[in-house]
Amino acid sequence: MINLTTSDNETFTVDKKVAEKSVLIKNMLEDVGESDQAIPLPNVTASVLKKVLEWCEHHKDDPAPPENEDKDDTRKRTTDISEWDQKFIAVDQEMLFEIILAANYLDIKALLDVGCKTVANMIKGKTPEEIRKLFNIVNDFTPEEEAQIKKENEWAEDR
Amino acid sequence: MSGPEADRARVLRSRLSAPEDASSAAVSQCDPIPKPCFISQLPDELLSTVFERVVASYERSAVSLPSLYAFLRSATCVCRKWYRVAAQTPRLWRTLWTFGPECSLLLERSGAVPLHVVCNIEVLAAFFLGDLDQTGIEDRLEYLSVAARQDYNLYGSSPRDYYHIMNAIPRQIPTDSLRKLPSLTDVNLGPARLIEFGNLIVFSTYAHMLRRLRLRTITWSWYPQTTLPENRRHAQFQCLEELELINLSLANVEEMLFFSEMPKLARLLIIIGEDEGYKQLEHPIQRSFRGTSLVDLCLDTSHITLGDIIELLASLPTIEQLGLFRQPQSTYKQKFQELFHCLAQKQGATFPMLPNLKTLAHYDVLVGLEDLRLLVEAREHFEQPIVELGFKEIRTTWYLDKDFKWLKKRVKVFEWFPRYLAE
Repeated sequence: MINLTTSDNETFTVDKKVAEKSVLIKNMLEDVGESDQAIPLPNVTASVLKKVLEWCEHHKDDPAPPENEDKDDTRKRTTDISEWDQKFIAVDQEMLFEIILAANYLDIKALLDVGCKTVANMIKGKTPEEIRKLFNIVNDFTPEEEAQIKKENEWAEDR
Repeated sequence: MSGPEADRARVLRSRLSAPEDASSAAVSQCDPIPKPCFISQLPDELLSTVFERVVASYERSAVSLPSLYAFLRSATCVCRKWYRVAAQTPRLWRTLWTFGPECSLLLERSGAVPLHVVCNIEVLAAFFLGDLDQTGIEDRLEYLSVAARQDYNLYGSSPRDYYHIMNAIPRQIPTDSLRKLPSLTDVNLGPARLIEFGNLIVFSTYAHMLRRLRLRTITWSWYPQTTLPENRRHAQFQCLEELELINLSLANVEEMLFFSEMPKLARLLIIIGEDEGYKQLEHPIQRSFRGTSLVDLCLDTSHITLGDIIELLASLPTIEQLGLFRQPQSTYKQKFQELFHCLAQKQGATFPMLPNLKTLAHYDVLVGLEDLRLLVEAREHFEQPIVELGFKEIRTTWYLDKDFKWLKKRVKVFEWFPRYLAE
């Protein structure tokens, strides 16, 4: 078992196999060796780490992804997400993006993949206005810039 | 666009592509009680990954090309950050619909990444004839998908139809002016009727690095190789590793076995068309099947005799993954029991048939769970285990079956789709 301390000073005791789903933690453990000291995770809060560990626990027996994964792999051409992962990631936007950032920081590729696919599915088929509304994005283009982009995008009209 | 207007556009584009400055951040801070925008926390590289995910789900298909371009249009119109990230992610822009100058923005933004072209046969013909000339495409083209438009007359005698275009072009071009496609590794062709087989072989001289070829709804017109020009006779896809032949005419099954002679062919999938009129007939194979590098074979067995199937599999010791497909309407389902018994029979300490078999999938091939258990048990006992079993569907009632429960503990089970015939 190992201890992980979050940015808000909460400590989690977890099975080594579960924690090692994170390449960051795995490398830290390899560098430091056996130790009772908690591993600090200054970029992750307790509420997010709890969710991340829930995912790691469920996927602890999954095979490790290949080292040099082909970016054109057929599996990557879809935005399909397993049923369990869909339920897991059905959270509010704040938590969704926190999970993505944590997965990126902790280097958990498969979880990052689930997060990115989820956001991709939210974007697909939407107009710019719908996207802005969904994510509360401010349109910061000047009218001049908008006209320029419209002109640039003429190639894609009626395609 | 030229002169002051072009200069103005350039200035605007460079301003749009630059990271946000402090003044724009200050403006956004002045907004009255802005709603939280959590997606803005994503660094550029993660937003870029999300965009790549969207695009990846649309790529390689003519049907989803409009959705792909609509997405690119949307992504660049949301805000400055999205514009900058999208415009600076080359992989988003690599899919072209033509080889012509209309795609110049896509070419510019795709930088140096390998290109995909999803086009119709007329565009391909114009490219081969040199009517479309966009510098740099030939060397970067990695994936080519060619389909006829739905309004094409695939069978008729119109001079614009598929047959005439596809079959006339390669031979009209003198050898020294052949367009080479040195990076082309992946081709998806079809639906296409009446393609002359020799022309496909000629195509291999254009694309000598081709590794994956997928042909759909093909009726071949068979010509012996000896009718090919001398200098093209030995091309024959020297690098081809994967070949999928889907909805093929029964009359051409044997010709397809020609492909088994490709020296590096590791994956071969053959499915006969569902609308084929000779469903009830079995078709003896005359031609020998080599496949010395074959590890993954998926075969439509609807029209092949049991003797031929057994002989075929016995001659392919390198096979590790076997898919057995059968048209739902075909007869002679019972005979498969014998095949599965052959697969479970050992001679001495080994199995003469498919000794390296690790994955076995079947679709509408009648075999009982008990027979599968016997096979897995026998292979496991002699330490040549089967690790995966594929089924047309996994029925919920099987979870109460003792043989299925036993199998589930020993092997990974999966359903036929999407591993085979995903699209």
